[in-house]
Amino acid sequence: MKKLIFILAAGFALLFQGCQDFLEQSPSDALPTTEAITSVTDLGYAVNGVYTGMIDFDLGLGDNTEPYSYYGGDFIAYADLKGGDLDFTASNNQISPMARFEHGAESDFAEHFWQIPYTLIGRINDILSIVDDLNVESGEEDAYNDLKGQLFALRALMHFDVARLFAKLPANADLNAVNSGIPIANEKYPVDYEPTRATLQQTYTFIKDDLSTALGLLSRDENLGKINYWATKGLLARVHLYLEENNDALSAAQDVISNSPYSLYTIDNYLKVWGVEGASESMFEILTTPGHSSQRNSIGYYTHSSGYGECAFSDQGYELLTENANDIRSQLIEWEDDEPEKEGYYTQKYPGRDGNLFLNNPIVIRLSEVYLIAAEAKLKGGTASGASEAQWYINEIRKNRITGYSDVSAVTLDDILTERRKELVAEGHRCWDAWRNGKSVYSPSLNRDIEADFNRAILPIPKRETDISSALEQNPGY
Amino acid sequence: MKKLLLLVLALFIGVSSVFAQAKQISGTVRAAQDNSPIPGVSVVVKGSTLGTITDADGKFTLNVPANEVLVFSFVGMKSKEIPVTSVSVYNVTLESEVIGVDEVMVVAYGTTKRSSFTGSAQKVDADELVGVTTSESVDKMLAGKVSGVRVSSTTGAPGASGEIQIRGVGSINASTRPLYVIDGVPMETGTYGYQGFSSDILSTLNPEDVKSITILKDAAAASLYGSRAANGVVLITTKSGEAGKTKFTFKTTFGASKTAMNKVYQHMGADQYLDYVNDALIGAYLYYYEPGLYPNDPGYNDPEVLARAMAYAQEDPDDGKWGIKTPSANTNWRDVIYKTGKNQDYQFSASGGSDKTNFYTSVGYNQIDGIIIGSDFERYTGRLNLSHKSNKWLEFGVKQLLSHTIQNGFGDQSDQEQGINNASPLSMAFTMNPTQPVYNEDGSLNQDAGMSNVRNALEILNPTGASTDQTYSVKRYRSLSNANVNMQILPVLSLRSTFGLDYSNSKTFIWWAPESVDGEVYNGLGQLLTYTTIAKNASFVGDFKKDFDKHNLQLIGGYEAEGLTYETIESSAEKYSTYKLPELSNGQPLTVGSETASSNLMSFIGNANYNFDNKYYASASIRSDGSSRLGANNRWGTFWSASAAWRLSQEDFLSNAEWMDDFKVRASYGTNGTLPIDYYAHLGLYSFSSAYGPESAIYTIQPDNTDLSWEKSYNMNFGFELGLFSKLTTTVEYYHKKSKDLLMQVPLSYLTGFETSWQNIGELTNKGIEIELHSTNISTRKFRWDTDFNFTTISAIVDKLPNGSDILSGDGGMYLLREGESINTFYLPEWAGVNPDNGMAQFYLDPENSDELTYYRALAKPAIQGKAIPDFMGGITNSLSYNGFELSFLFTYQFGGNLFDYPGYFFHHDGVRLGTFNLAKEVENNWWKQPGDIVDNPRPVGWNGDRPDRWSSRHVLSTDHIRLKDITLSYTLPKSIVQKMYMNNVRLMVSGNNIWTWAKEDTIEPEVTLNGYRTVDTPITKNFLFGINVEF
Repeated sequence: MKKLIFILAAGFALLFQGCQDFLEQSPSDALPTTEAITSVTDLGYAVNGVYTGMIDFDLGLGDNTEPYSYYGGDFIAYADLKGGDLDFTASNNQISPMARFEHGAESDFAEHFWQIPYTLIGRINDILSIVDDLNVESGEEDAYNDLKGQLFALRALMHFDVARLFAKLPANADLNAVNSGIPIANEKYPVDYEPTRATLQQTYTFIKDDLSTALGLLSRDENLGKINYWATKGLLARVHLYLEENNDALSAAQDVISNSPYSLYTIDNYLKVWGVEGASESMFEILTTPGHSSQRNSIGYYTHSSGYGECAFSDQGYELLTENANDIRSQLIEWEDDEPEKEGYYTQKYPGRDGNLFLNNPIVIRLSEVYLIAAEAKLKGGTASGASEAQWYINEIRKNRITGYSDVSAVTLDDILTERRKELVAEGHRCWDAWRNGKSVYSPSLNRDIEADFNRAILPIPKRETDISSALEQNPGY
Repeated sequence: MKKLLLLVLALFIGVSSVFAQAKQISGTVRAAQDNSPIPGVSVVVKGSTLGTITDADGKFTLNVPANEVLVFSFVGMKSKEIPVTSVSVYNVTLESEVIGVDEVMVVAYGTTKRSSFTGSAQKVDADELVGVTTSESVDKMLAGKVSGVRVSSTTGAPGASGEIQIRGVGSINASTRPLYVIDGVPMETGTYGYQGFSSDILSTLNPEDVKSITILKDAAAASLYGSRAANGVVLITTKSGEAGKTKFTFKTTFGASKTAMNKVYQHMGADQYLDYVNDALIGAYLYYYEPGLYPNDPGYNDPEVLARAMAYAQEDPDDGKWGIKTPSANTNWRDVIYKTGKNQDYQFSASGGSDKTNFYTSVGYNQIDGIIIGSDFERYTGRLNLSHKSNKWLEFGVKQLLSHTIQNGFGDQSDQEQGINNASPLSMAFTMNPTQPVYNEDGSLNQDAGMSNVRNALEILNPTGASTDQTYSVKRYRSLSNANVNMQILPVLSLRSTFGLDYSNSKTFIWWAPESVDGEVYNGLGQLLTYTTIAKNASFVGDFKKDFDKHNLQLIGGYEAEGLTYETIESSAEKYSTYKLPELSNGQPLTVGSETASSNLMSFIGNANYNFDNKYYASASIRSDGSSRLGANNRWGTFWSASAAWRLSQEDFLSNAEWMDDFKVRASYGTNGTLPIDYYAHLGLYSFSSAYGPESAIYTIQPDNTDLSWEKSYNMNFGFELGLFSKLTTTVEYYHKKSKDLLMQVPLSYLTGFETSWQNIGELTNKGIEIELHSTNISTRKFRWDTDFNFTTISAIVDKLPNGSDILSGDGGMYLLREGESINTFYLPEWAGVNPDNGMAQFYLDPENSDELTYYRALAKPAIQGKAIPDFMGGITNSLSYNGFELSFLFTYQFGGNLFDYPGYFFHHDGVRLGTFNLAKEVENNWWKQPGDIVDNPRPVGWNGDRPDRWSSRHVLSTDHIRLKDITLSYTLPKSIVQKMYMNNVRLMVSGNNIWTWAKEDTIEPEVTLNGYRTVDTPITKNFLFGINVEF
């Protein structure tokens, strides 16, 4: 009897041991943050987790069918639809409402253009919160710094995108006005975080700072699907141009033009470089694969009549692109009528790889744009060592596009902006290029010119965000 | 902790006992009523464990010390105390106890007498569950039996889930199921269906093995189960053997079943359908070609336009363009799909034992053919319950269930996901063209019968190993083991440990043959899903009982640990080279995945019960639970209860009131909890399943919440129990259950990187009154009539939501969560009927603020359109017995609730689904044809883009109903005849369930899950049974 009691008592005592372990359980298909990233290899995968969200945003719910996208399609189409050079044929209301400037504070568009970049910035900040504690073995320092640089560069890019979507362009606004910018997300936030808007000045300073930090860390090697030093420098040039900091814009652009490994497309290869991975101008493109793309909300599906057909050429866009039959760019257009209600002229920049319209790597920045930045910055009075005259950059592009082209000796701002429309159509620039230069765009859907100060030139802050943070000021007119 | 251990040790060691000199006594115990000997009566020396039980002839012998008192007790009889004198033979008669007053009840971690129980609990014995043996699961048998308990069958498919709720709805997002505890071990329950195929693991239990079920309702009863008790607890006790002659029973039942309500899901006949189609085509012309439907349309009331529309409707009616074919039959497809089901059940058991060892063993086979050909359920079970008393202080036992179930069926949509699956049986009743015959004249299947991509319902519903089969099957294996040891260390102290191992493995196989409707695109698809759950449980409980004079004290202290592991393997194959071999190996691999999740719980419990002179009772309990599902800061939670009762009938001033058998008032207050469903909701997590280009990609998917805690409920309960004239007992209770810290998905700023996180925010209040009455109306030697009645009011009001904001949930936001409103409130545009002038549907533009009408549903604002939770419900059972005959019938009722008729939305499509769906029979001669018609259904408009058929209050229907849930007539053969046949008891019975229903809306089955969502599902059935039960 006593023996038994002793055994029982001992058994009890043993049971109470290991209480803590017993109550620590974790899943088999996910890891807590602290265990997820423990090496530079893990860090690389985590950075990939940011890139993949730019093309396939699914929140890890195992469901690839969320009908919205960022660089995969919606963001690329946005500026061209609002800019009026692209327009919808049929409307499935996937992205076509942008052409009609249809977006309220409770619309999915406002929400998703906010949700995806900020969620990805959240992923970046989560990684950055532990990146300094990571155990970096010798020999891995360069890879580690490059990955860290990518995070800063991407964070800047996404803030820049959100700023263009949700705040006025710097050229059209008082940079120091309260709430003129967007919320800056530069750390890991608690779940009850209530964001507020910075000024435009603070916003763009933050963007430039992150880009500069990134430049100090990034590799200059070509790295397909990843942002490198040159792409970051090109983006920095773009940001400076938006801020009319012409010297800095020109100097950054000139560095890329002089020193980067990229080369302009030529008349001979211009029709073949689309739908190809890692073409010669591509400084930063985002990888698409059959398993990870924006599927029906990808730019390829928007820009073909066999897809949604919501991004065909508008009349003005078609006329502009085809005004010179010697321009190879006029041949990158086709009449498509796979479905009668979607017939129209479509760009062939997104033909899809392997016959799959979902597979087009969206290009974030490519060399032609850098030439165009340099030309514009120079024309606006920018100076930088090694820079050429504005017309030199335009001539370089045109030589490689127009058969029998003879150089011009001078260009105007309109020449440069027209060249941008022709070269960068369907790549997500048009409306901002016009507005930041104080010009209007013509919207065929609304049948009127749209100025930068039209309240719906920018998106409303999603209502769910202003509900969560009452101090988050809504844009005027919403 | 160490202190507690020392205390326990001290209790173990501190006391020893000495027995005085003994002498042998013997005797017989008989029932006062008929003087028959009673086997199994416990004969114990008062205040000790020394004792025995009577044998089959009611005889006992025992060695007792002199000057002690013997206590004779037996369930259902009044105990008797007899002092031991010099006499050595004691013949004792026991009187029947007034039913309900002092039965022994299984309660949390022990048993108690009903009279001394201060909480709210109700026991249902197996014999009260007779007649409902077709119920494939235990929960469904409780319908209408217990106040405060709502049981509903979700579908009529055999093996499908039931739903049980105790005292309303305790949660918004976490589980609302009660905790099931079988023989002292918490049991895994739940639905393990897939793709809308409902399947419940409770169906692995054999209801025949159940001896009694106790429902624990208030905190005093349930708080000992702490973090899992907020939705109440169902304690199941299985049968055990009794000392004496071995008893064998054989029981078999046969039965047939049909849909419970004939009018449910009837469709239009061929003539009416063609007429409707014609009108819908006229409508389509007036919508698309020459607008003339609405008053503002140019062609409105223009006879010439109407003439052209009518001509259009007559154009080429049989070129198949509109899904209209040359009528060649008038087929009732509902009758083709829903047939008469059959069921059979065989049960064999043996029980018995000696004063040392007793056993109960059973084997059972249950087989049900559902009302849809090819849907069936089979269950094989075997059970052995064994216990052995090795000496005065040590008793141990094992209880083992092995069970295997096989369930076959079709892809209904019991999961409440949006959409109607073309291949689901109910859908096919309406997508088959009523003008088409089932078979061609040559006897072959008419391949042109369907309006959807299903060519003929029987192509799918008659699985024959054909290339068009589409089948679902679930094979399940379960082993439920329970081992227990009971040590009576001292007369006042016993120690119990119980170990449970619950293993359940479910294999779901879904087969879409290569030429089947859904399988064609895959060229055959096989999906194999394996779910394995393993639950391990160990508990150690010390039980101290001591009576000091009139003070009676019981203390319970214990420790419990539980581990739950859940493993899934999912795999699938496509591109089958043959339809004849569905196994995955015969196709090309498509997907594969596996996952394991585990959750652990560790608990300390304590319970004190005290009563003074069986008059004043006080009880308190405490439980401390640690769960791996919670955030590190809130991992441990403490739940407690305090309760008291006063038995006024024991007071001197009432003890002379002969008419009053018992009068007790009681009150309790305490806390319970509910754990999050998600095992890992508190962890910040990275997902590893993604990729970027050729490389892996990982990213954060969930923020951590170290504060994540249980949902807590604060329960108050007042009640009284009254027994009068030895005829009537009644229990009346009021409960108020406040649930706080409900888990809600709170929206986060996207700057955090996340969309939502689980936080403990919401609040709910459930309250209600429960009344139970038991009356013995007539009781003579030959005739007896008893009535049991119960009544429950329900109210479940949302008190607090994140930021106080309304939350819309469900399909298209049709459910509203709003502070101050009932949970499961419908929120839809309000239907304003059909305009008699033009036949168009009308809606209230803004029902909360004006009476203005609109023709356009899209413009109509939603408003509250009733709630799913009923106001009150209950049941009434009458049992009459005469000379071996016994008739018992149970009516259940429910009033004040609503359902959302999702299938009805398809079957009242107003022409929108012209050419793909038939219409409900109640639309026959009930649609608008000409000005002045007062009808329920608008003018049909083919493919109407304005969608008057979309959800509105038109689809919210009352669930008020009264149902003859069960009626059983049985005859027990006279003993004299039976004994000549060398048997103890022979009983014959016929019974039926759901055989009569009154429903306010008789075209829809009113029994529905508590959220009121009528799914696209097989309607529940009525059953007729014949059975025989033999004991020998």
